[in-house]
Amino acid sequence: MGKQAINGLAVDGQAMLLFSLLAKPQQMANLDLNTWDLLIRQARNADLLGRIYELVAEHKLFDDVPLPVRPHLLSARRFARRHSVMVGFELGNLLGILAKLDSPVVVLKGAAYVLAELPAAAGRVFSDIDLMVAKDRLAEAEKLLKVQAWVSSADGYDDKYYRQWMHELPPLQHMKRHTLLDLHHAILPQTARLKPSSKRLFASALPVEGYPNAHVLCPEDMVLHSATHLFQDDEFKHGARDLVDLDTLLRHFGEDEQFWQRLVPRGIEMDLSRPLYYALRFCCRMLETPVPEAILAQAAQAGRPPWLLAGLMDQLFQRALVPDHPSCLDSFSAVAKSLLFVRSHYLRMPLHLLLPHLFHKAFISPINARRADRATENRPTIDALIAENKPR
Amino acid sequence: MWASVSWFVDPANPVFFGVWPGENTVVAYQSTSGDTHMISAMGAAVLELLQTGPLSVEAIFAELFPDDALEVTALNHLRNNFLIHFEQLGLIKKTLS
Amino acid sequence: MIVADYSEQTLQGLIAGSGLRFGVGPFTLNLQSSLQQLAGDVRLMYASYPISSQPFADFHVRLDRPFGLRRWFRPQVNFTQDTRTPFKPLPLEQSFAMFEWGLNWCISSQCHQYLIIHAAVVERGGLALIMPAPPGSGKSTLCAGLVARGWRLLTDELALVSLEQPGEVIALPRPVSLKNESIDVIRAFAPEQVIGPIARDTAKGTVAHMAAPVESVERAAEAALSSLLVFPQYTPASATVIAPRQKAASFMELADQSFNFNVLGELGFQALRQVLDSCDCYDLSYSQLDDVIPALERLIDARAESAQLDSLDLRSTGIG
Repeated sequence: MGKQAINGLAVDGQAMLLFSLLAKPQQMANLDLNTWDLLIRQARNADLLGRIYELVAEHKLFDDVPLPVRPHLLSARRFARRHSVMVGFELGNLLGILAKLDSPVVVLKGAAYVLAELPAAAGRVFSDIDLMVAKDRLAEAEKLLKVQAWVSSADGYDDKYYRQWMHELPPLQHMKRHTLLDLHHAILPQTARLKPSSKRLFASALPVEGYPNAHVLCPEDMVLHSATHLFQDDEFKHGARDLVDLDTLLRHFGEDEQFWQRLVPRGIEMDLSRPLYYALRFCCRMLETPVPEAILAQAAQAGRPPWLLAGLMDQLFQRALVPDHPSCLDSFSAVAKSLLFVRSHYLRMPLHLLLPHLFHKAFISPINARRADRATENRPTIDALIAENKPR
Repeated sequence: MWASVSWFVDPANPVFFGVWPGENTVVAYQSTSGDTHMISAMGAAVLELLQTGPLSVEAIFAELFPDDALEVTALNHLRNNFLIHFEQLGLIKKTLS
Repeated sequence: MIVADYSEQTLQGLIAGSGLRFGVGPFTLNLQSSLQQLAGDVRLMYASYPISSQPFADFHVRLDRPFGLRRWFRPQVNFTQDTRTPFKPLPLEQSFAMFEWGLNWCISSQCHQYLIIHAAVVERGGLALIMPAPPGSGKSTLCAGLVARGWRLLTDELALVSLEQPGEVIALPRPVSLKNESIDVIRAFAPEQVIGPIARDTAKGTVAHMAAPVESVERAAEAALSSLLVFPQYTPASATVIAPRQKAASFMELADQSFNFNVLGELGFQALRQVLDSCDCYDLSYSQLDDVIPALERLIDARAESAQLDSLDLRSTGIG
């Protein structure tokens, strides 16, 4: 597969294999083993193997999958299913603990997809659970959780950094089960340039059946949050997977015509039209998400950056969103990712606050300072990894 | 106060048993939380009863020993050494009925 | 076609190019590397493994020297599966050991089509003996000793328990990892066995691998029914002592030694329960291979006989 133009952008055909099959899963019926070989590798690296299984199952293609490939899909399915069972179990515990708050708890991101039984939960593996409570109830929530063995291991600097500038507490971890919990009071840091109102998020959140205190964001806010997370954040490590989340949410909610009518106005209201514009643009480009033309135009009008910047961002995101696999990367990819990393900090904090933070990060506590570092820099030894792999 | 308390195995976290002939200990596995416990055969019998729905300590006693009269020491033993212990382990839940 | 059919030079070319593709138990592996010495090590330790021409490989792995100044004064090696680098680099002379550990990681973290237990498994007369492995138990030494005396090697590290056939263990014959004194013990006990490169100062001390016997590799497609579960404990100067052990306690131990018991949920619980159903369980302390091996042979042969009698019984009741 050579270079080809997809919607005006030159990309390598191989690089788009995973995305083109996610967009047209029926084509998985006719793949040869060579192509499956590449697909499994790309999907595994993007944490999308479970998603591929779900698409295969949904389109009743399992009998078309060659025998040697099947165990990989089954294995990913088992892992993902187990994960969502555990997330459901932990959520039940957490919502029980936080019932004493007597104040709504909004479940965010992946855990919300599980709780609301959205298609975006199928085949998805989450590294942590995200909850949001009103800012003035945060301290009380933390106290209640602490009693039930949810504690933070952040050191002094990290702890202070989180509490002073971030939109969440330092990550909490269950002492026995090691599940990670992010307790938010907003969806963006207090220092970010965009200022979505937490009050409005709470006001429109929807109750969840069976849990008196639990809420999930309304469909528009769920999409806006997912878009914000992807296009304002530094974790492009999961870019492909997060884009698939957005695509799945849009396809699901988009069945309701009203959703499209509400989406862009809500983006403007929440000060999030820029990430919404990127989200819709790249979902359409890369995953062929069926977004109505009129809505795309509306979103562009509200959120498109000046055209020179728009062109640059297209180039950057295009590379950052494809799966992190050698078959998908070109020489510009690494540069693109590091530029986006700097950008995400610039978006989250004014420069005078960012500089000391970057300085501290680089020279004092490179491993502990940021969540994302845990995944890449703090790599365990073989023994630790094997021990970790054994569930207790 | 105690009389109104019942215990039950949470249907959302069911218990599976590994039982082998001639052994007086049983493996109890909770398929949702993933916790595995080794308990006495007597304890397993109690859990099996509580899978069917909430029961008070008196009702459990009557099911286990249908021919015996209720007796305070035995009830206390059942409550303190089985039910409270199981509750701490997360095997069963308490409800006020 | 097997790995040793290629010259070291040809293997070198394959590994440096699109990869050497070969079968290891139920898996197909594609190995690439820019290292010089790896081809020789692989040719020695994986000599009789089948070359694969299948276009699909379960694992694509690489071993390379990381970039950076360090490479000049302290050469290192990195293991990668596609883009994933699960471990910190190790000293270059531990390359082969890292390959083995890396492959362990691929299998134990990604193959939930099996219940995977950290244990050695060997077979005699169609019956499998499982030996779980808390470190220091001497299970690898015992495993190597049994294999050198004709038992078939199913695995030294990763027992793949079937989720479909109750109690069955799938063969994954690979080099047996020997640590510290065990290396010399096995050299003296079975000088005919092939021992690979020695890696010193690893996290586990000095490590070398004993190649799996040709017959074990050739019979890799044959599963075996788990029949004996033995918890070995090497005890210096001890006589061989075999004592029965409770199944419930043995279950707990195996669950604890499993990599994915929890991932599999109820499926894993049932598979492990079936292993315990089909096994007699024992604690074993030993110090002399010459003493413990015949004892284990008697134990498993007796088990085979009683199984035969059982099946005769069934047949006679069936007729009657």
